[in-house]
Amino acid sequence: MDILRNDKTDRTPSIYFNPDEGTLEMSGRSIPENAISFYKPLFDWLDQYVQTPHEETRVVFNLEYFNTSSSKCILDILRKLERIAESGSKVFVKWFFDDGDEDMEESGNDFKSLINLNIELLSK
Amino acid sequence: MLNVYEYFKKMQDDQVILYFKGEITNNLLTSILQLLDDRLERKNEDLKVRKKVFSVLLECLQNIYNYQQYQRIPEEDAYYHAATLMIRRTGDAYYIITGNYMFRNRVHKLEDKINKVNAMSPEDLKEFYKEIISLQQHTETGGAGLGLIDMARKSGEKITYNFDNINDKYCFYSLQVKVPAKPH
Repeated sequence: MDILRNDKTDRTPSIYFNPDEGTLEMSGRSIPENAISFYKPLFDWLDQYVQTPHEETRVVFNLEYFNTSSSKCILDILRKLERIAESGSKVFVKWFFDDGDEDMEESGNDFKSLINLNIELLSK
Repeated sequence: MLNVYEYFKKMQDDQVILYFKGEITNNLLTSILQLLDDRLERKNEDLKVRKKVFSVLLECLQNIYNYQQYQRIPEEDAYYHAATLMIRRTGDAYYIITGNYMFRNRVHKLEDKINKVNAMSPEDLKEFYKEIISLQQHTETGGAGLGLIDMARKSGEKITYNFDNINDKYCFYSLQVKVPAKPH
């Protein structure tokens, strides 16, 4: 598999996914009006990755803002990561939030309670 | 006679910091968000408040945008595509206020949803949010069905709304979300 790389825009985050190293990082704003079409390529890559994952998968969410349309996609990404964990890769998720941004911290907690993964909440 | 001052004075008295009327497009939406974010940053507004205002405004505008995209107000009714946005900064809060036309036959469902959200405690809202986000499908308007719940959670206050009947087909939907803030 190749590396997936998207640069950030006003409305969408940067995405860097390196299947050979088992690393995925999303950073910036995720506020597209139609989040599904934006995240579709990443979903497809994760579905491919789950078949031969790296022994460790390290994921970083470093989001400034996300809209509710994206929140559902983020949950879908985490569900795919759950499946990757079930298929034998050790999955580590880091969820960053700005110091004092209680809502972003709360969102991390929401996902944590919905998903059976090691999600670490980190203020920056 | 040209009298901009009256409009201006009214907005000044009402502590309006941003006013817009027209069709909400995607580029406009991004620009308005940026404009407001810059302003709040310049005013050294508390990070938590800034992010709440941004999020609520974003959901409000995308709700209107999605509604117009997916409910398909017909081209001959272009008049009803116009919407309005107002942001006020009073001593203790920001108010995000929007108004847009919608089909009258959708009112009942929407009103039920707002009333349901307004009746919930923060804990109830958290559980409701998690319930809705876990559903597989996106809604018919392309959203996640989470907009109002998210606004209510971030605001921590009741959502104020009103529907004005315009004619047999359309009504005007007014929505106000308060984001508490320290005095400035």
